[in-house]
Amino acid sequence: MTHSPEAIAITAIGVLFTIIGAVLSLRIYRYTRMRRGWLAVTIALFLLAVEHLLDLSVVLDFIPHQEHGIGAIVFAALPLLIAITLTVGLFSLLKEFRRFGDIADRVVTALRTKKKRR
Amino acid sequence: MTVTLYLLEAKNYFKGLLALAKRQSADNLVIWLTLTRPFVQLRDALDFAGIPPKRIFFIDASSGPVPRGAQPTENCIFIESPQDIVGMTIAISETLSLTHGKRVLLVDSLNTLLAFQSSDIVEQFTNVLANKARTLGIDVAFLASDVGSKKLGSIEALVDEVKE
Repeated sequence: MTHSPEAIAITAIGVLFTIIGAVLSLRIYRYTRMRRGWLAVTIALFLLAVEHLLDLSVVLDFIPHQEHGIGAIVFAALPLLIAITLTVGLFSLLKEFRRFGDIADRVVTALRTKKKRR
Repeated sequence: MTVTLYLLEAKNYFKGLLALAKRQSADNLVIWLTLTRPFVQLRDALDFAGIPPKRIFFIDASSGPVPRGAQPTENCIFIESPQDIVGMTIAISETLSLTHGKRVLLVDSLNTLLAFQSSDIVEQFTNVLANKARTLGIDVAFLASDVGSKKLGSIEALVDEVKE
């Protein structure tokens, strides 16, 4: 199956930006203290880059379109894997952000209790 | 406003710490980040030494995880562990923004922090706290025992004075 040059260009740009996003995420990972959550998001972005690369390979006819067998399962399972990893990562980040808010609330409560008892 | 690193003799560390707390709490609100001893033990020690706890607010990162639904404790908030630098920073920032008047931040101790964190992170943490204190015009006392003084070399450059 041949694809139009526009489709190939758009897919290639998609791959490029996904790789840039994944690399930036990896660089942020070095600085963030919410390591587990951010690591999962980074892994999801790299998996997304792999998925886009596979799409590009199909568009460029480097690999045939997989309708049966292991190849088809990989193509179908990758988006599921990405979605699960991303959800786990974002859930972990949400938990961390909630914890930060919780610490701030506890300071307010402790200081209020202190003032009342004075 | 001064950022001071107190290098206390290891065998007299606790004695020196209580003496400093007594001196500072006389005319300051002391915000005490404790990484070495749990709040309960410090509260008892302060009672025993006749230091009124009214002028001290504890941020306790040494007592372990806070049980879910635990009652708020007067004078203290708990952080899960000395590894939780972000939690400690938030607690300190929040306490500083909600308190007024003459305050001093007591960090007890850098040795414990260095046991849980890399020296780079301890250096960044010290720098952030020192500069925050300078901006707000409050004193900071970083405590460390002289045993670990080799590791504290780079931190000495970040403070205004070192006292032994």
